[in-house]
Amino acid sequence: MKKDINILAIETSCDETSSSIVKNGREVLSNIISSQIDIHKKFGGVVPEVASRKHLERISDVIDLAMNESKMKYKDLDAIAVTYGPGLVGALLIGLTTAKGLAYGLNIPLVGVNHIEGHIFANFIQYKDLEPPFVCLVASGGHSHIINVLNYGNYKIMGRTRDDAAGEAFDKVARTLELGYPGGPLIDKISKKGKADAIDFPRSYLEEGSYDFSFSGLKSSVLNHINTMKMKGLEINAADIAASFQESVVDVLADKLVWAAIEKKSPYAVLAGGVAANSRLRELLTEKCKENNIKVLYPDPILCTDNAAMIGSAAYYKFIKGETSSLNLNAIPNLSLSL
Amino acid sequence: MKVLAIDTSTVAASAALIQDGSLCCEYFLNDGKKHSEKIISIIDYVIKSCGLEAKDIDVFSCSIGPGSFTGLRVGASAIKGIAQALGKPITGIPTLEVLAYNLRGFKGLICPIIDAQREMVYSTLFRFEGDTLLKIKDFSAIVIDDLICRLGPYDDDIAFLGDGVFLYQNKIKNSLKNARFADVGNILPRASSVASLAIIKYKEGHLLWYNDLRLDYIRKSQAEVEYEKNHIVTIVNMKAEEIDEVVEIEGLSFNNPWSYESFDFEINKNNLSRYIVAKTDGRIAGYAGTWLVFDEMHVTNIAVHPDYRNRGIGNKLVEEIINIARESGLKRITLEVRNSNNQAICLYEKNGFKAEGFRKKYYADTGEDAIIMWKEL
Repeated sequence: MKKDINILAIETSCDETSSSIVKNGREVLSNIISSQIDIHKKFGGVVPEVASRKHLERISDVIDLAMNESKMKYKDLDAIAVTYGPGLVGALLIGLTTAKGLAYGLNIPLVGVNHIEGHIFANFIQYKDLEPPFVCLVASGGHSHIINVLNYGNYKIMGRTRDDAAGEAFDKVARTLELGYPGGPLIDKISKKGKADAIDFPRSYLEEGSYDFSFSGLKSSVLNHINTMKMKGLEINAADIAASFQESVVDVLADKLVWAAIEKKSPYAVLAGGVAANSRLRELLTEKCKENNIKVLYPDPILCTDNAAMIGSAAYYKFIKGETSSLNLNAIPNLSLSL
Repeated sequence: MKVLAIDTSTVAASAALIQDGSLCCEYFLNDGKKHSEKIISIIDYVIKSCGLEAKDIDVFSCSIGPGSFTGLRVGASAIKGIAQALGKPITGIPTLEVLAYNLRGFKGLICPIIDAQREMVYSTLFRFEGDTLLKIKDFSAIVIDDLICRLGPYDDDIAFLGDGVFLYQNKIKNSLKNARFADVGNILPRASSVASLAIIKYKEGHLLWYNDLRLDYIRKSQAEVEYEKNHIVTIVNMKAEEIDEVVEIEGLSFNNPWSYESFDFEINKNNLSRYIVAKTDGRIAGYAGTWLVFDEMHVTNIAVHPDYRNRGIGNKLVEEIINIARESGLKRITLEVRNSNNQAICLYEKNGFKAEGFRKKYYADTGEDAIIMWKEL
């Protein structure tokens, strides 16, 4: 009988301290996520130094909880997986150095994982039978990529944002509307009370055939709209603005993902990353895919947020190919996915 | 017993292993490379050089600050990770003690200074009594000029070390005749000193589990400092309903505190008095009292709540009373301060006050002299 592969994974690239035990790449035995959102709220965004301090305070307990919940012992582990980029360098270093210490102490291999790659793997956890190839949109506070997933570890980036990430645009607009932080879920919620066609915000498709994104123009027109209303002394309808803004973002995201799926003859249009939790994006994408006979896949919200289970899944497919990392591995804040 | 210790609090990284009381291996590397890339290799080199494996170590130790925020975290993460994997205890050693321990046996005072940027250093004044390291004065994070001022009264030799020496050696040499400087081999923290102190802590029973290790950054993150600055301290005239809080701070600050009745008189009955408070988080953080007599201002008391010290609130209060004196058209300000209250004297000097005289044995509790200071407006 084939031996099970158990991987302890760690993720600290932004403001979530997370640890998970993943069996054979697809089975999540535990997935502990300690969020710092409440701490960063008062600053209106993630403060890197504060995030790094909190990661260091919490990481050992988070790992203990993950081990306990999985009922595993350290001797049962085959490898330690960790995100080494992209992300906030100070935050990445806590997870990475802790992982190196664990790997060294246990004398088992370290597997460094790209955070964006990790988001794709949330879908392999969600859908046990899913196999590449397929086309995937990874959209979060830091990234907006359309990726052709050719095989495990083999990716072609079809498009990426040229300025703001999709989630970043949500955060900035939410801040301007004084909704709070983080912006994604707050805009999603208030938009349900607004009219998506109330204001005609621009949709930036860039040049014909491009899968790239640009959200800075949209962000500026939302800010201009708010300023104009204020100057004219007119009442600002936050729900209408949020709904119209959100519609502009998700319309472009969904269109480009569908076009990419058609071009690559992918049977699936797959979502990943924090923005994949947006209810309107899921709804609109499902509508557009139905016309083209493409199946829409997206993970549960808990797997859309930054979490270590997805890192453990990605690490499994590297580990079985013998792709382990040196204990001199450094954090790379702008790590790219293109190979 | 086998202790493995590391230090990553400054530009240099080091690891050392003490086995049964003797230093078996120490590795010190100051090559400008990132700590995160090399820390595990250095630890591995030291352990293997002693013919051991990580699981043979009884106690792991690291310096816990102050120092480079990222450097400290890399060291602590590595040590915590290894200790967690092996289920071994940890000790955390304050970096300033580690530095002082580089100079064990030195007869005078030892003043480690670690660069805290913006003309500031982290510093504590130590002295060895036999083999025991005694803390004489904790300066926390302090402007280098203020530190030099605070060290003025000491006559003994003072040995300086730490990366602050690279920046401020000339300045210190020019101001303090009794200043000495550690030689090049001792100027930065060394893991062998961390290990020696770890053994002392071990014998005293001060062991931690990996979950409990906390770094002592001394300084908050810049974002928190800015947040406090922008959101918190406001200085306003004191009101009668604030007397209770002020009396509490008075009690926490002075041996012979003024009573409720004294403050009540000052606020409600004395026409010459002017009292201000610094408010933060809805609480009183500090206060200052003055009398406006003819063309002079007499400062009666200034104090800051212990929870809010080292945030520049005392300085804000002094600046505000100087403003009040100027706006009221007064010519000079005077105050008395205890001879031993070096911190206050330095604060007043920074704001232009000069010592002009003494009142012998002015303070009844200790028989100390009062220094009379004046500022001309």
